[in-house]
Amino acid sequence: MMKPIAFPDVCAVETQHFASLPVVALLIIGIWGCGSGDLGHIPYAPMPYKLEEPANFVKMQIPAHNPLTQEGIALGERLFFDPILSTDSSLSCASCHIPALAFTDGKALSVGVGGRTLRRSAPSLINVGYHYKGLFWDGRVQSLEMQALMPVVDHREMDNSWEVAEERLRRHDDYPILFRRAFGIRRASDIDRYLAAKALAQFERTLVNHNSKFDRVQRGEAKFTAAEKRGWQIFFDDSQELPTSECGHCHIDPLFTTLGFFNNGIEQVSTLGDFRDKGLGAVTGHISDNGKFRTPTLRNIMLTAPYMHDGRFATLDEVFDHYISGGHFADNVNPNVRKLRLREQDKKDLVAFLQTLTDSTFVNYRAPGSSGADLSLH
Amino acid sequence: MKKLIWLGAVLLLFAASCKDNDDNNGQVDLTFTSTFDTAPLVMYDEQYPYFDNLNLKFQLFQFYLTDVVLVPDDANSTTTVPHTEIALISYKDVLNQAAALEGITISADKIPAGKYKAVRFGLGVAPRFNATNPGNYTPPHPLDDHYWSSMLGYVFMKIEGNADNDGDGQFTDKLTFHIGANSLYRTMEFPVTVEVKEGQSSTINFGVDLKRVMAVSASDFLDVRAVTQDHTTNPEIYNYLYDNLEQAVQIKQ
Repeated sequence: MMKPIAFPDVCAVETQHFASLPVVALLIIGIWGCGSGDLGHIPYAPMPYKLEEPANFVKMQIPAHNPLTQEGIALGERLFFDPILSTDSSLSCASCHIPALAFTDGKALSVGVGGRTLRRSAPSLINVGYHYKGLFWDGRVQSLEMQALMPVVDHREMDNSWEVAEERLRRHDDYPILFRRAFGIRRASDIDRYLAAKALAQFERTLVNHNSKFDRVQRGEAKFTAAEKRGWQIFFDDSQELPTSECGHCHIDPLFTTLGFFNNGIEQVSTLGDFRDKGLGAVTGHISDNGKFRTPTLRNIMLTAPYMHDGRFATLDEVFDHYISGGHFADNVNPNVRKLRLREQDKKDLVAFLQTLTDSTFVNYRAPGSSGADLSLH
Repeated sequence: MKKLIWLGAVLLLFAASCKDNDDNNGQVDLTFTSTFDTAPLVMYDEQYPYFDNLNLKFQLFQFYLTDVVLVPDDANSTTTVPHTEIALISYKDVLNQAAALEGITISADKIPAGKYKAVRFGLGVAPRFNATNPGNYTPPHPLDDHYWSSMLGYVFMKIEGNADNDGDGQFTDKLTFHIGANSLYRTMEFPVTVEVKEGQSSTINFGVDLKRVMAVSASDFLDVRAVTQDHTTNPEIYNYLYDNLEQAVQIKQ
């Protein structure tokens, strides 16, 4: 397992530079610094941001060292859409996590700098702040702060080094000011990967999605059509008179994922050691975890094709056909994946229900308090 | 410097006196080891002989306990000592014999020193918790998962596994039993003699036989060839399994 990185305390960034300096010297440096990279003249007064969490969601774990602030979120949003972090400044986080596609990229396998193909599909970031059982498809990191550090240095993704990325941010016209406002840095050279990761994590924690038709029905603000209701009943095995789809075991509401890791039988293997992509098993070292991947949310599923961790299914029809077949056998295939007796009408009604999970307001997502600045910087 | 030494000594004495006042407590561990019949229950790898030459493997076995309390051995006392309010006893991550023998432990370290004569707990999720949902909790919490929204309640017990019904060595037959409803909640009490000593830990051991959950006897068992799942939909099945769970939990003296 990866050794956890201790993220610096936000407040400590500002105070550590003051602690040992006499006030007079500080003033002199401050006056001199106005024209030479000292940021002390820029106000540091971050506004705490209170996340509006849906009542039926588990409470989001927000680390004490990285509380949400309007300035931190705004900086995270700017970084998310800025290709500055990639080696050739060609790709941003948003290149693979496009808001209009529910923060996926529409590709079976994502493409990094230089056209390099990744081994997996870009997962949706909807409600990613609630992913308390591990991030990435294989759960290899436990926090958004840790996650944000990794794509920058992945050869197939941004292929950069943090040393280079940090230097670019430090020399940028805007970022030193934005980091100052968000984290109280004293000078541009204080910008580092951990603060960038914190800002990105703050932005990602705001990606809370709970305004689909399904949510409105739950709140009594809308009603399902007959087809949607029938699909909902099939999805959640809610009626003895209707066939069961077993979907709800792993895609339980309100997140439409348990966040758990399962082998859903999409890969044909002779033994558990034969998975080309071992998924969770490569992280835990347990052979019974081979071929297990994080259950993705189905929120905005109509926007997130192709499906599965490797995008092997282009359409929902293909997904249904897989589950109806019961999937391939392996010793660790989740027992909830079993042969189904779904007819065409059942599939249509399931699709009708899944469509209620689309939140069209989310496709133009802007962070709360966003200034409205153009996000497509390059 | 002398003043500092004196101040330190005073603070040390103060801290020591606080400890004496606050820590007349000990730790009590409740350990639940699970078996299938007499074999330690291990997920995935191990196969277990059932009836009619059937064999089973498991991927998940778990159940909830609520209001775990200790009953003082005091004829004059009617109060109990709370141990754990809610716990999920899950064998999901028991992947080898050593882990199976170790079992799942719930601990409480603020149990007043003294003698206790019984352990009592609710088997399942007590109605006051079953009226909540994961939105009431910050993970990690026993109730942050396993909520079945269409049933408006938690799944008290889950058994998931596979059967080899045709004897070909392939465990291709899926088994999923997800049981939970307020009507199934029940309180169990186990006589036990345990003395909690200040600053020390005591362990109370329980055994949970999964085979006993699925069967009463060789002539009275859940036939997994005919019944492969229940989502608290068939009273005959879910009452059978849950009544059996009550019998399957035994204290080990």
